[in-house]
Amino acid sequence: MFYPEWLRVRTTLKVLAIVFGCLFAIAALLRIAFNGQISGTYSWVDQEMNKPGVRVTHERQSDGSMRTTIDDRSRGDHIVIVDRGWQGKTITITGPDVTVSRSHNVQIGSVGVHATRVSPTSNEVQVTTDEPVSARYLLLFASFVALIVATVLAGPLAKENTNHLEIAWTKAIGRERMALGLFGVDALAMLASMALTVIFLVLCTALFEIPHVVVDSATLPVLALTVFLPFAWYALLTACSSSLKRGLGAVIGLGWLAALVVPPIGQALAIAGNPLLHAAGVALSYVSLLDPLVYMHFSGSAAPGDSTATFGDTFSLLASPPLLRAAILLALTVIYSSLSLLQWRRLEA
Amino acid sequence: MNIAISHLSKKYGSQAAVDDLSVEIPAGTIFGLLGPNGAGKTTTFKCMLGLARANAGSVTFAGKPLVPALFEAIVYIPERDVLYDWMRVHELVEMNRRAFKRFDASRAYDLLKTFGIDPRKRARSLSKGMKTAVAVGIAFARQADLLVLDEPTSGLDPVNQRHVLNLMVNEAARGATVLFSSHQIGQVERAAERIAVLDRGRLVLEGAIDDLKSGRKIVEAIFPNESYSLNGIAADARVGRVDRSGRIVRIMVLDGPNEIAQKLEAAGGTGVRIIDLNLEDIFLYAVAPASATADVVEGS
Repeated sequence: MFYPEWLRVRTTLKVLAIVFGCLFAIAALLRIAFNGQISGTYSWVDQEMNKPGVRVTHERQSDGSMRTTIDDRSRGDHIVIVDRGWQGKTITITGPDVTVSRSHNVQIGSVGVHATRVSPTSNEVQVTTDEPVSARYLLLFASFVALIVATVLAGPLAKENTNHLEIAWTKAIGRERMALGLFGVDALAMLASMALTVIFLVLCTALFEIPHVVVDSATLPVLALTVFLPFAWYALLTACSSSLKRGLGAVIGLGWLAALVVPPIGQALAIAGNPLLHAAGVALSYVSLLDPLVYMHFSGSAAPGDSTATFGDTFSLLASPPLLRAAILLALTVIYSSLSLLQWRRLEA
Repeated sequence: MNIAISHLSKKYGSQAAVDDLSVEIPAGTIFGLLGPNGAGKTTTFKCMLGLARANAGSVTFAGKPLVPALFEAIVYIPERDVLYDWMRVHELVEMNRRAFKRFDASRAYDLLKTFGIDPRKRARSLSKGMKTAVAVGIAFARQADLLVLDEPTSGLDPVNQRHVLNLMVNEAARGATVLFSSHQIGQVERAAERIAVLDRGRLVLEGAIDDLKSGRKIVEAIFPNESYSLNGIAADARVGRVDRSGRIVRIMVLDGPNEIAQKLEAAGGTGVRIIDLNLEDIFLYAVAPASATADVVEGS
């Protein structure tokens, strides 16, 4: 019954798979090209070895890892590199010249940098490349890709309304079931795009090291949030376009523009001193509550100084825990889908 | 599957597209719907099939109101091109195979081959006539009980037009009901058993073609000059219509053509002859107003 929509979905996912395939090929080429720098000892280790007074030792550990120790007695630096191959590396640098600041305690992907003061005259910086990566980062990226897919597939009713109602409505299925079926097919496509994205990210990571993705108790609410975001976005665009015979592209373009521009403008105006601007800002901020994109952030609660917190002071919904925001997105999905169905029922060919 | 349309009305704004239309279409017949542009033929089809909401009236199919499941047995070819133009022809066939249990894909491919359609082509690359051929080829592979065809030969060449008419006859022979509209009266006359004529949304004529023709004749005469008198012939109750074109007069008579011919000769007409009525005459009689053409006069 939904064959045209399946074809649209198939084309969209095919394009996505091709893009991911190309990106993976580029990543693989980079991996091969920089194999020496990634897998071998670092060039600065070689430089250190040639310095007078520096002693470098290599030792194969019982677990198969290679332990390289560099002692620079003249400067008092002590460097230990434990190379576990695909399972990652740990580089520990200890010495008086090592500086410690807040920015040294960071994690980007699987690479973590932890700096600590070990004595009044010596600091330690440890760089590890096998830090566990929370699944929520993968889901965030996957949700972004699903948003793009949702945008491409949005407005299936408008697409039928453009010129094909005589075909769509002369199938042995009611209008509502037809519409819900179209939504269902597109929802599966969004989920598939998220799965493809996660697989792509894991494979890319595997080019460099064994992926160490952590799924914990915080993952489920984030999963719900990242799944319902593209659903709600798709439903919003569909609700805005279901009665249209043409102009779907304009609706989608303006939808993105409004979704990205209205919330910050509302936020900026809401803190303005001018009462009129303030009122306009508050009004826009209320309007932006209809925008699914504003519910997408990882902060569980508003932190002081956080821009979300400023917004959340007035609109506590936006600063609510991920599970509640996911529920709001689900509610928006249902509301927007219902509006689409109402329009669909009233259409005439 | 017989269809009963009862007091069907549809308005667009204040304009009545279909006005209190009641007609019965017997099962297994080929029924032609005729009418000038804007007569309400397409709107009637749309209201019948639930594609447009009627303001009043009802339509039943074999005594039952339309429900989605009935579309398993109903085919509709709209007047305009509604194909998914980004799809390939074989994908359009596949779409129907998946949607309808009775769909015979091999028959569809046979018909498309007959029409000279390459199934690998995208719909957008086809001409208007070829798109019509695709729609027809797929529709006639549905093995439906009712075929509603709005201008099914539009854009087709004469050979394929004839082919479509033959397909319609074959469907009726199989027991299917065929309801179609066409501007080509010759086609309707060739294929249809019964017709209905719509004009400005109203039913103006309906019946079996043979019944409509029987007893009705055209009496034609030529006068020596353009200023002639019919001596009250136009007022005769047996005269349905008088068309004058220069020195030629054509009178449609409902009964007694020989007597009207004698009256014309007595009025000075020469070359008087009695001609069998064709469907075009019936159609014009039903829909062309006397004021529509300067040379057509009702009575004189």
